[in-house]
Amino acid sequence: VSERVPEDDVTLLELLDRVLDKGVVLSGDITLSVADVDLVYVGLRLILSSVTTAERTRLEPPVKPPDVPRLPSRAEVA
Amino acid sequence: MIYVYALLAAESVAPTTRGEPGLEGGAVELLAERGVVAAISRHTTPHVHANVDNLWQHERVIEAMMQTHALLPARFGTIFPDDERLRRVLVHHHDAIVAGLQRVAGCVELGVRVSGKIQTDAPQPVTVPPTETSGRAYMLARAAEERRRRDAEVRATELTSTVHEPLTQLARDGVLRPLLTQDLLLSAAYLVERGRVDAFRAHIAALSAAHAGVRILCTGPWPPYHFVPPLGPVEADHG
Repeated sequence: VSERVPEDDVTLLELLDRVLDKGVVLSGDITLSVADVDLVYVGLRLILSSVTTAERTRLEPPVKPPDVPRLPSRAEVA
Repeated sequence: MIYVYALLAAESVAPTTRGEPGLEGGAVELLAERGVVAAISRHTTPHVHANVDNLWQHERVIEAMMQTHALLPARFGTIFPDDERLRRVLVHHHDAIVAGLQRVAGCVELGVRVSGKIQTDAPQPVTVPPTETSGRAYMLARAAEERRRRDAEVRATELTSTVHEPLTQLARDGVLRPLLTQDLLLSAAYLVERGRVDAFRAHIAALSAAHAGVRILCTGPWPPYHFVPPLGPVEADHG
């Protein structure tokens, strides 16, 4: 498994880590979150960085890779 | 449905998106409430689709406005059902928004990623054949994993003092980010005054030269996503 990430993918990763994870949150009781944001975030991260060992799963015994949620289709990613 | 891109201060010269349309081609407009402005677009659909095109368009709209105006970028997917609810939030959080805008004024966010293999004197991790299921093999694998994790922690601590702390000196603020991939040794975001961006990048280049074993990548300028104020919930609707 290559651990090199092409720079375009790095830029997209950096974008994901910002627009989906940071930025001002305008109060939960009124803001309606986009239903599939979390799924897209996790899915794209997995595709882009071959994350089989995210920080929190790394602390678990290396028995088997974490269960991978359904990934967005290529059409959604492209 | 109203989609929110960013919050800005009301100024005599209004921000523009320099021709960038909003999500799904919608027009970006400004909704002002007591000195605070929300950049929004209006949509007939109940939500926006979280695809890469929309993520980039969210980003492009904000980047266009940040060329001339201080702003607080909204998280992707911030939507309101109507003007009234958005106005209520802007009123409720007015002071925090104004303070947040002052904090980021004149600054951009730069991202720094340090990646590479850990150099270590420890023996290579034992590779366990897939057929090997004994307890001993399991313990060896665990020990190797633990050693690798410790090495990474030591290296990350070193990089924090040799990379992160000097960069923080060149920035108004800086935050370390969680390391989500195995080869990532340090990930951070910095709030840098526009006039110091070149000096910051020059320092990155010097650090790259001094740390031949790792790859140091600087991304941005970004809107200040990592440097927005936390806004608590608005009180429950009494009216």
